[in-house]
Amino acid sequence: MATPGPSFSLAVRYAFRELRSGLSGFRIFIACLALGVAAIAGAGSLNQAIQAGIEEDAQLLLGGDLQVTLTYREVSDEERTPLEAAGTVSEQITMRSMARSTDAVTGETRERTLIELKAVDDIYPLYGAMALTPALPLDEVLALRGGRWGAAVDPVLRTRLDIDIGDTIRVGEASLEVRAFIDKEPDRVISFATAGPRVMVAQAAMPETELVQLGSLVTYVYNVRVDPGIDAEALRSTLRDDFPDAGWRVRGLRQAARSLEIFLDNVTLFLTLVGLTALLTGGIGVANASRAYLTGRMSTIATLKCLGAPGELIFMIYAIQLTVLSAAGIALGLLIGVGVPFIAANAIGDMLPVDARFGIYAAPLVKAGVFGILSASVFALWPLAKAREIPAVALFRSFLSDIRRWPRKRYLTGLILLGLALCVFTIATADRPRFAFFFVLGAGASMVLFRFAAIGVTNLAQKLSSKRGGVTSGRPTLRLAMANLYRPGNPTTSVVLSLGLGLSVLVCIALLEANLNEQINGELPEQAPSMFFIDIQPEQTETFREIVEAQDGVDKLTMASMIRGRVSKVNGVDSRDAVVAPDQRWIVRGERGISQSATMPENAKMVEGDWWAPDHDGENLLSIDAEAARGMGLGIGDTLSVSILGREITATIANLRDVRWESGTMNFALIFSPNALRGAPGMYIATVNSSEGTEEAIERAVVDALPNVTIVQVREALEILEQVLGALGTAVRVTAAVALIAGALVLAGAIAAGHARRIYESVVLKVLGATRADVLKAFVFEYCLLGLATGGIAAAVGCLSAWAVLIFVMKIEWILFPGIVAGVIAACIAVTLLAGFAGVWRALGIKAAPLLRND
Amino acid sequence: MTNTPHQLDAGQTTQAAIDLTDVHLTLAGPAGEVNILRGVSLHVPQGEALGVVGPSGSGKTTMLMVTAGLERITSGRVAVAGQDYAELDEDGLALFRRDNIGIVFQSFHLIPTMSALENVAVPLEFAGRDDAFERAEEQLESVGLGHRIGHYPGQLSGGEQQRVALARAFAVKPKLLLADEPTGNLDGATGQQIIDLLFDLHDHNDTTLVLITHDMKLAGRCDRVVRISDGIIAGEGLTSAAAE
Repeated sequence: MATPGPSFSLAVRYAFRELRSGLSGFRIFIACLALGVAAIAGAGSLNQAIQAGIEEDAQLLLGGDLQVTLTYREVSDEERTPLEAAGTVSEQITMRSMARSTDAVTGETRERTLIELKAVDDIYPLYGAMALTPALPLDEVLALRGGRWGAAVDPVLRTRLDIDIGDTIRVGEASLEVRAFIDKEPDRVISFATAGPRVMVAQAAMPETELVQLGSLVTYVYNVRVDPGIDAEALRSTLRDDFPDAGWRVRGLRQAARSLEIFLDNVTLFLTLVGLTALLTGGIGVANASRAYLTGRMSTIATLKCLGAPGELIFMIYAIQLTVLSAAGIALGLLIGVGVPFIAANAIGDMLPVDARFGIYAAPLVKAGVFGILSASVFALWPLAKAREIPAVALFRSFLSDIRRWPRKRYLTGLILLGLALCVFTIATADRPRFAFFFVLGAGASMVLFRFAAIGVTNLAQKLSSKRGGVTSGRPTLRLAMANLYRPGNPTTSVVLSLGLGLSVLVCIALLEANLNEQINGELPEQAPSMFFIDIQPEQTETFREIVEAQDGVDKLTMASMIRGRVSKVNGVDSRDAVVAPDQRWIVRGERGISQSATMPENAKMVEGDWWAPDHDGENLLSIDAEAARGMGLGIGDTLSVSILGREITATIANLRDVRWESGTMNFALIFSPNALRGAPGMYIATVNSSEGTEEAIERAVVDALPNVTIVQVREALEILEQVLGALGTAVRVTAAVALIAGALVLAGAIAAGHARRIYESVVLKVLGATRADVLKAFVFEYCLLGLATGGIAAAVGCLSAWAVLIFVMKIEWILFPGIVAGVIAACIAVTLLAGFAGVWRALGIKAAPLLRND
Repeated sequence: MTNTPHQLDAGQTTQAAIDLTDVHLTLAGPAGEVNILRGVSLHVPQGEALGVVGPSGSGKTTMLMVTAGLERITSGRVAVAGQDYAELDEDGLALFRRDNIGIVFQSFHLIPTMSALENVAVPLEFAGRDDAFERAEEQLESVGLGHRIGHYPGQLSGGEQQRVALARAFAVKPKLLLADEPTGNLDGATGQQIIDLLFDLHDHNDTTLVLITHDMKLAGRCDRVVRISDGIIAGEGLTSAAAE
């Protein structure tokens, strides 16, 4: 006779009957799921809100429907024609320069600072509006009045240059009247590369500054508002196709804030992966809570089985319960996730370069929900399947409910399929699938590594404590502590796995940050110059040298000619088609500084080949960074072509140099023999190494004599870099804390699950003559050992990953900071002790008698 | 056994293994105060085997807990081996138990994470004995479990677990052994083995034994039996065993 399968409605009825007893054992279960889902949903929602802002404000951000930028030169008439035919063209000139404030009476320079100069025409901005204080029309602010041009400046200059409205600043050779402070510049997307505060002037004022010389680092910007009926995107393609050698950059609305979008996508990916780590870590909490719950239901399961319930029905009853609880956790997570952007808007709204459009976006919520469902299924299926396999008799026997029988094949298959689905979903939904793939691999490997580490800890504990005459001999409290690390149902594995994962991330980040800070603070100032000078005109080099060398404290002055150019051909092959290793692709991407030198630079380290004769005048020769040459598959005798201002120069590689970029000294990947660049409009750049405190005087002397020279103070730049790194480090740490919170939740869950056991043990120990101090000692030992083991393993894994990142990815030297490692281990012990104590304190106060009575 | 009430003189001078004088224990329950012990006085001389019988909820186990120092009394006096419990705090009581009292429970109460040998060694180790494991092994051999010393409680049958509990209780050679329904969770034959062992150990170690049981036949093996009912000693009598 065929046995009918268990009825689903019966299972639902039983499941809800059991759920009536409340959710008390499921707070951790729900919290673990909610945390991960909230992180993923929140990150996605925030990204969508900002993306929506970018899309809606694309014209504002770009400054037009289409933008063409060129370095060094203006567009030719031929190039200008299609732009003007398409619509209205607004022109800008941008460059870095120095601004000085002068004494009204003596005319002497008071303060000076690096600025970003932007010269605009009278139709700027094409979209949006400038917000100025006082609220005056821009053309009025910038106009020539009383023989002086006006300027709108960043409010930061108010303190930096000690100026106010009506004061005069000097930029280059021009005197400008500060007439307004800029509150908002519609087309200024904040970028990390932004060097200085803005000074905006009229284009007609530029000649007076005398800053634009042949070869000056000037960017010409052409914003186009296309006429109705003209497709900006099609125009973009046409411009690129019709003028392949123009060397211009043409951006449409889709690229309006491309770098911001890339940055955003990276941040979102990072947050999603952190959320996923939290979900994986929390998954262990889900598994623990499910196991603990099912263990608590053993007598019920046994009774149901005795009364004729088939295993399938048992599975269904508890699967339904866990599904309901998972749904609650996921729903809570989604709710929090929806709220995250609104909270973030308050916290970081001002820092966002665009007006984010906050709202409820379905896509990130669906994605987070699917992640929640998949991870809950993966982690709850195992304990469910094991519970189904429990024979009724075994339930009554086993105190610790360690069911060693494996689940049935179909559940194992289901588990594998769900795990694969989680991996595939992670990779498929990531903007950078390759990165996500490595994350999945890394997460899997870490899980396995921590699992083995946990097995190692339990085995070691067992070995140490079972040896007669060993460390635990005569110390029953220590033995109890050790035994609790390896007993069946021990919390070691879950705590090492969950807390360990989060902690190792933290160790890795802390070590990376410390190493980077060490690089900035420790190593760089030793070799790196203290000042950079840009845009020294060729005829100014001697004057410049004389001024600098006359200053006190100058140890070293290095000068080199520099011109910007683009690698156009690699061994005769168009650089766009050339095969270049991914880590060296930067060399063929965009424009870079190119130098020329008759003699070998003093810090150069030759790897292969020889330097040319000082008076070399034969074929064009090139000295190239050995790594870059390797990346492009080039060797001595091969050729490389660069395009400078539309002119292509081809040179034969004469030698390979080992360039140590991290040294911070002046370096060029490409140095040509002087004959190759003859006639090219090069400017000079210089670096100065000087003793601390002398920079101010050098800067003053140079700017006063050569106002067109732009100066970058390395110490200031490094301070900014340090601040950015510090802020990034804090952001990363805060985010990584999400994974750590998930770990702490699992720890709390694991310790709470052992509460009944702790009470029982403390009572039995008291009966056998243990004092409260003895009992306390046993638990302190237990949590110390657990914390030490987890912290130790996490520290080892964290160090290893930080070492690998520094050596193989960042390629800088690695320093171990024992303080950080010890701090993390100590913190881990403190956290486990704290979590443990919360339970122990109650256990200590429990009266023995009620527990010892016969039921 | 006779049911003649026999109240001991409170001022009896010989040092008793157990001396309970007008012991009251009142606990606050959800439905108000519950008087569990209502003036129990009991004098048990050293070396005696005392059976305690009575219906469920009569206060037998509470009297045992009070005697073990696991439950504080509301009024009266409890002294074991001359030690007045009122003079000891919780830790003092723990140390006193360690040196003087062995307890066997119906539910064994072994530490599940420790092997049989380790369970038996615990009180010896608490007492700072260097030979804890040797003594524990001897003790396990004496209860017939020399071959299962490395097994964990979960790997032992109920009878074996109770034998481990007995070995643990006798390990420190206590002056007083308290047994609360030691055969309650065991089948008849296994229970008989445990009781034989219990009395055997009692005889060989000159230990005072207090045995709580529902089984009148089992109580009959003791020197004396008291019957507790509703928190007071309702009857007492010598058994035939006392005459042997």
